[in-house]
Amino acid sequence: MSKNFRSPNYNLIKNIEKKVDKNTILRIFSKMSRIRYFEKKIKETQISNPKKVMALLYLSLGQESVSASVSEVFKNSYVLAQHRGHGPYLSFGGDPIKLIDELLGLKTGCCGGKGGSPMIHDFKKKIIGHAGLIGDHVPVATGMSFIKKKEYFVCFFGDGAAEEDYVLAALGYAATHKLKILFICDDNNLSVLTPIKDRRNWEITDVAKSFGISSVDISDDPWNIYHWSKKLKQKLPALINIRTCRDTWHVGTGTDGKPEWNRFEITKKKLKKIFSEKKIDQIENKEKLWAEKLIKKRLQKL
Amino acid sequence: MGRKVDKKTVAETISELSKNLIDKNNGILLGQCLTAVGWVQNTIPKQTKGIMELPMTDTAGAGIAVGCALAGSRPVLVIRYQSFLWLNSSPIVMHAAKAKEIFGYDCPLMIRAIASESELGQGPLHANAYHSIFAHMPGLNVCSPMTPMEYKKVWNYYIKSKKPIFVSEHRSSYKSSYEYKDEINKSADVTIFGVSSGRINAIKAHNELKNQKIKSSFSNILWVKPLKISKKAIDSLKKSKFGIVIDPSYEFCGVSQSISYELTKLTGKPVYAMGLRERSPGVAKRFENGTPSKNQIIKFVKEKLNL
Repeated sequence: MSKNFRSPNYNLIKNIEKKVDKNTILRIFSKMSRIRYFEKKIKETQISNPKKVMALLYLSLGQESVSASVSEVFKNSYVLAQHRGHGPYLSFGGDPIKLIDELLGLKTGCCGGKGGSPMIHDFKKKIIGHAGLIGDHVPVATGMSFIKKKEYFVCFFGDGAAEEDYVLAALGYAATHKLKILFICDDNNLSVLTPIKDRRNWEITDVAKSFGISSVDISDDPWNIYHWSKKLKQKLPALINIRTCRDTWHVGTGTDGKPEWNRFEITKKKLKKIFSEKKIDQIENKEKLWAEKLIKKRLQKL
Repeated sequence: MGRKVDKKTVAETISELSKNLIDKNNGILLGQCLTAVGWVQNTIPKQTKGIMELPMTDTAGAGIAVGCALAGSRPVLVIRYQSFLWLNSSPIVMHAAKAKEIFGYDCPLMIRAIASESELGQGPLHANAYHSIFAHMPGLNVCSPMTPMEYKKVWNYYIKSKKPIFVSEHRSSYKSSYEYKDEINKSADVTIFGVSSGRINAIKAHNELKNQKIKSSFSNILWVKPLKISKKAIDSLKKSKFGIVIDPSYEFCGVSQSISYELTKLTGKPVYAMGLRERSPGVAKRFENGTPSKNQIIKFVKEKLNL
C-alpha cells in the first residue's frame, strides 16, 4: 500500500473552514504568529550573538499550527510536551518571560537557567517539564492522568518518540484505564535526520487503534486539527498523528533548505481570503512587535 | 546479633506502613504482580485499595509512578528484584531525582528495591544489589533499612520530606524483628561498618573477633546518601588502626569504596572496602558471589593486624 502521507492537504476535510468558528481561528493564528516570531527572534539572536543564547535550541518553527490549534480545545488542561516544546508552552499560556529568561540562562527562567530549551515548564499553568529522553513524558502523563481522573491531558511527542517501547506501553495503559488524554504525534517525518521510511513500516495510528484508542492521521491544517481535537475530546483517550514540517534542524538554528510546505504561509493566505488582508497582517505584526520588544527587553538583563 | 524489641518482623512492618500510607497519606503502591502469591514476601497489605498492578512494562511503569507523584499522590514503586532496576531506572533518575533541582517542583517517590543474596541458586538475574548506581545520581536519597524501627524512620522521612528516596531492601531482613545497634569499643583495633545485608555478616565477624580477643567496633550504616555515621563510630575509627566497609553491591565504584574514601578523608585512617567481586553470580554453588562472609572479614582483619 502506498499513500502520500507527506502532503499539506493530507486527509483534509472539504470546506473545513466553514465548520470552525471565525474568532477561534483568529486566536489560533495569533498563537501561531506569537510562536513564529518569538522563535525567529530567538534564532536571530543566537545567530548574531551565540554567547547570549547559549542553550541548545529546539525550535517549533514550521510546526506552530499543531499546539496553537489543540490549545483552543483543551483549555486549562495539563500539558506534557517534549524537547521541541516552545510552541506548546506558548500556546497553553506558559509565561513567555520565564521562557526567554530560561533560554538566556537567567535565574528568572522557568528552570532557573538550568534546563534550557528542552526542559521548559510552567507548573502553575499545568505545563509539566520534560526530563530530556524522548517520549519519557508519555508514561508520566498516563500516571498523572490516572491520579487526576477528572482533568484533561494533552501529551505531545514526535514521530521518533512514537517508536519508543515505553511510549507504546503507555498508550496501552491509557487505553486500559480509559484515561482522558489526547496524544498528539508531531510527525515531521524526521528523527534527527533519519526519515520514517528508514525506521519503520507501521503507523502510530494503526498501533493506537489496535489498543482501542480513537485515532486519526492528518496534516497540520489548523482548521482540521481544531476539528479533530474537538471531536476526539469526547472519545478519550485518543491520538492524532499530525503531518507537519520542521523548518530548522533537530537542534539549532540551521536548515536543510525549504520545508516541504510552509503551513504558516498557507494559513495566512487562506485567512486573507476569509478575512481582510489588513486584519491578518495586523495580527501578525502585533505578535511580531510583541516578540521583538520582549526579547530586546530581556536581553538587557544579561 | 542484636536485640529483639518488637515482635513485628520487617515484612509485617512494611505491610503495616504501606496500609497507613494508603489510608492516611494519599499513598499508592505500584508494581508488577504485587497481589500475586506471596504478596512480595508479605510486605504488601492484603487489599486491593491503593494498589496498582502495573503491566509488564518496566520503563513505562516507573514513568507512571513518577506521574502519580507529580499529580499529588505518594507513590511507592516496588521493584521485586534489583536487576529490574536497569529497565526502571531512567524515569527515576532523569525525572524524579532531578525534578526539584531542574524544575523546582517536588516529585515524592519511594522506590522499594529488593535485593537478594547470591545463594540457593538465585543465579545471575535474581541475586543482586544495585544501590551504588543510584547513590551516584544527584537528587536521590539512598538508604538500606534492615530492621522494623529503621524502616519506620525511613517511612516517616518519606512522608515528611517530599524527596524521592531509594530504599534498598534485602530479603534476608524480612523475617527478622531484631534491632541492630552500634557496638563501640573505645580501644578498638578495627572499626567495621556494615551496609544492608553486609551488616549481618559484619556483626557476626565483630562478635567472633571479640571471642578471639581482637578488639573491634561495629557500626550500622542506614543512610548511604546523605551518608550518616554516628559520632561514636567516627571517634572509634580515629582510634582504630583501620576500618572496613562491608556492602552487598559490587565493590568497584560501589558504595563500599565510596564510603571508605569518605571515612578516610574524614579521619585520616585507612578504610578498606569489601563488596562483591567483579563477576556475575551463577546458579551453581561454585558460582555464587555473595556479600563478604564472616570468615572473609575475619581473615582480612587478621591479615591487616598481622595476626
